[in-house]
Amino acid sequence: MAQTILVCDDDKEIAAAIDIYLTAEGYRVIQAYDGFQALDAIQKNEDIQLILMDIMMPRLDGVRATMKIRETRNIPIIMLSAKSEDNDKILGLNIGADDYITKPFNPMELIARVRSQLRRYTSFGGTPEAEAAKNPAVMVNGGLELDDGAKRVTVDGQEVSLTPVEYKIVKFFMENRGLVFSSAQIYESVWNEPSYGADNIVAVHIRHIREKIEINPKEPRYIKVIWGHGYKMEKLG
Amino acid sequence: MSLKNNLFAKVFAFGLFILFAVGGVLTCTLAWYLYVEREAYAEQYTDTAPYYQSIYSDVAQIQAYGRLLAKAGAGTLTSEEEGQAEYLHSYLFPPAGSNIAWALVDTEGNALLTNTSGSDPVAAVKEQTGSDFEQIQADTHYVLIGMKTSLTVNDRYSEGAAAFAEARKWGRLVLFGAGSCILLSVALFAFLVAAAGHRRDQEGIVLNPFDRIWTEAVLLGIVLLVAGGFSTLGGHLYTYEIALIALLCLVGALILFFSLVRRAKARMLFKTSLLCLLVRLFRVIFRHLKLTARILGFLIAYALLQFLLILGMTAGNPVAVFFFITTNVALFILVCLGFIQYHQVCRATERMAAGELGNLIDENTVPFFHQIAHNLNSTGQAMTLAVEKATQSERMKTELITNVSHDIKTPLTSIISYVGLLHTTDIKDPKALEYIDILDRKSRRLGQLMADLVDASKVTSGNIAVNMEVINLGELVKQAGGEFESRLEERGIQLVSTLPDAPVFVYADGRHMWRVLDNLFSNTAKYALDGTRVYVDLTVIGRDVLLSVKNISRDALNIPSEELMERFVRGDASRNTEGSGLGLSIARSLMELQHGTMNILIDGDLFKVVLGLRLVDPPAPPVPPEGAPDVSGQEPSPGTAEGDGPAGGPVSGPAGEPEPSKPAPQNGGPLRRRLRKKPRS
Repeated sequence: MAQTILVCDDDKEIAAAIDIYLTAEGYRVIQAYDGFQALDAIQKNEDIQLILMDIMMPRLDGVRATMKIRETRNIPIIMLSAKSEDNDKILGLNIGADDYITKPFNPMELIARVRSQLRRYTSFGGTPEAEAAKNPAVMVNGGLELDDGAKRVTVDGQEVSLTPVEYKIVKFFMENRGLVFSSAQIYESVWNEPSYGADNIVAVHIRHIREKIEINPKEPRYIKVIWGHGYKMEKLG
Repeated sequence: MSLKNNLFAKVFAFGLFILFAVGGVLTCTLAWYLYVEREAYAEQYTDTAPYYQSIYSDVAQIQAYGRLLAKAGAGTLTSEEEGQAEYLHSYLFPPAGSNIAWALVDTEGNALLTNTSGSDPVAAVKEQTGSDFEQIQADTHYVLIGMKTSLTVNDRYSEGAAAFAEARKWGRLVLFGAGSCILLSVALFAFLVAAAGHRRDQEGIVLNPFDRIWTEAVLLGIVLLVAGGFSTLGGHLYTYEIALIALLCLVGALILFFSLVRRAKARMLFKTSLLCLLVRLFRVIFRHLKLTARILGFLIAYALLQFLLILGMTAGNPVAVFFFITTNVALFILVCLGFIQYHQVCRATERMAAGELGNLIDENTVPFFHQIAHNLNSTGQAMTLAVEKATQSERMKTELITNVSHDIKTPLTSIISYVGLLHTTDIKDPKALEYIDILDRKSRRLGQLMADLVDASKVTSGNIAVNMEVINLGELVKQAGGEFESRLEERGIQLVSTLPDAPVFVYADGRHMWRVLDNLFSNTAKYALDGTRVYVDLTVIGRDVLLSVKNISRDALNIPSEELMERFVRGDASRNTEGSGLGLSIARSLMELQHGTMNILIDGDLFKVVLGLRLVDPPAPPVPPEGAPDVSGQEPSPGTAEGDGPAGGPVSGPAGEPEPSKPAPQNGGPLRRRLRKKPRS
């Protein structure tokens, strides 16, 4: 059965375009053009599983609509806005949005993010945590899953193929979530030999990993660059 | 109002006042005469002092006559005394008779002498005086004396009684007249004072040319006129000429007096004075004197004073010693205060030169340089205002750009989305597909341009948060290199970086520094000649950290480096490539926000950017964001050689986090030891 997505944007053409993209991906789409219509649509359609919410809308804006929806529902909400300031993003994520996409967006990226959120929300057959408990070799961080037994890494359920070095780096990060490591530390831990000189091999590897596991490598969710300090694996719920 | 403004009323009142004043003076004089000289308040003449004077002088004559008679009885009377007795007899017993009755009696009550007739002189005196007689002791005798009730002859008693009767008759009337005159003149005077200076149809106090005469001169005139009036009156009273002169003096004095009253009411009393004129003159002269002349004048005066004081001291004058000490101590204190305040003003100007704005100095703390301090503060405030205005306009510009960019982004989203949808339609025409590709590329570039524009406006206006922290620039260069290596390799460009072995710590905002390097590497990726090398050198010279990025430009660089930096200006040949041209400008602004520098050097086709920052000491406990472990581990750690366990493992594992596959890592190297020392944030 097709999953239902609510697209809420006061620009009808944008809503229609998103509709077309998502419909092409096999989702059922409901459109709304302001916050109140969005609330109405949620009332009427209990099976909505994801909401794409614009922020600047007439009558009831996206922020307040999201707060209203969060009072009753726990479905993923992706904010969609022309406001690209950090403050706007932080505000959106703080009031209960699960992701934040700035306009103009790449349609492919939008679809990837929708898919990622939906997989996490509807992954039936046990939560990743439960799976991890079953198999001690499996480590889970958000949509990222590393099975050390099978030497397998999946993102949102999709397997990604990593080189052995990349796999080691990901594993190192999965074991040390939330901590920052310099490239030298990573090198010493992964290659097991002292690090010398101006080598940016770690940086190159990490960029490759990001290109494989991130939807948008420039805005990574998992492996973040802490400029001038090193890298870290974001600890996700 | 109407009366005050009425000239006729005032002239009339003035005349009346003169009249009543003169009348008052005259009636007062008269009243004084009547009451003090004539004792008009007494019941009858025999109670008054003039009467008693007459009586006592007569008693003295009677006594003298009595003594002479006694001497005559003893036969020892000289010829001179004989004449005296004769005179006294004719005085005491005038042929026309007397208005007094008297008798000289001894202590036994026997009358020795009397001017009464009859057997019992005492009874006769009683009877003739109506019992209003005096008994006055004289030697061993008594004199009974009194004025007769009926006055028969014309002598001083009858004259005195007549005058007293006259005084009694007029006394009260004169008194009343004097009182009325005084009251009226006071009232008129009050009215004249109140009305002085008021004119019909004119507001406030009006001065006439007469009132411009120096106050001192007027005062002198009044004194002279009053004195003159009194002196003329003093000597020869009551000739018409003198009375007229006195009156004129009075009138003149009054006119002058009312001039003063007008000035006082107009608050011009001091301003019209000679003193004021002199003070002003002195001030003007002083102000127009040159500073050196003033100082010279002061010094000469001071030296003169000191010379006099020293002279006085050598003469042993204690007052001179006292003043010598106090003046010199005062001068010393003043000089010290002057220097202190001068220093304060100097420091305020230094602060201003250093860029501080607003109120730079408390004007009240530097009374010597009050004007300078005031001007400084005014300038500072003006500058604050200008800076505020500039900042505000810059912020408004940024806001405008941000808002416009929001408005542009929405249609741009539609364009990008629908161009993307065009790809999915089954257009077979290769030309159409090519066009769609161009649309796709350009719409994305437009998005990038908008983002750059917003960034540039924010960065140049300083309207952006800067989170300064200690970061390892070497690490950052490595990270940036890693990000860009493949993009450079696509163009066959090789990245050659030279970094010191030790970490290079600088104080900067990591994300902004990344943005700077991102822009520089993007530039290189766009404009470097294919197949060449890019050199990234990080060097530390003293406390200066220099990061240079060098590459060979694909196109000839025939423009000044400054122009390269300017917004929207790029090398002509680069016009058609991607990029907004804002990259270098944003990078420079970001460096400046982080108190760094950015310089561009162009030598032929060599394009070189040098970033400058200050070296800082490594952070004592490096606390990177979110309490992560050490990031400075550049040195080789032999402990990590065994196993692939993570270096930071043990400190990282929070409770509840599933990490079942890995037991505690077995490597304990220096890294772990460092970690243990650190406080967890």
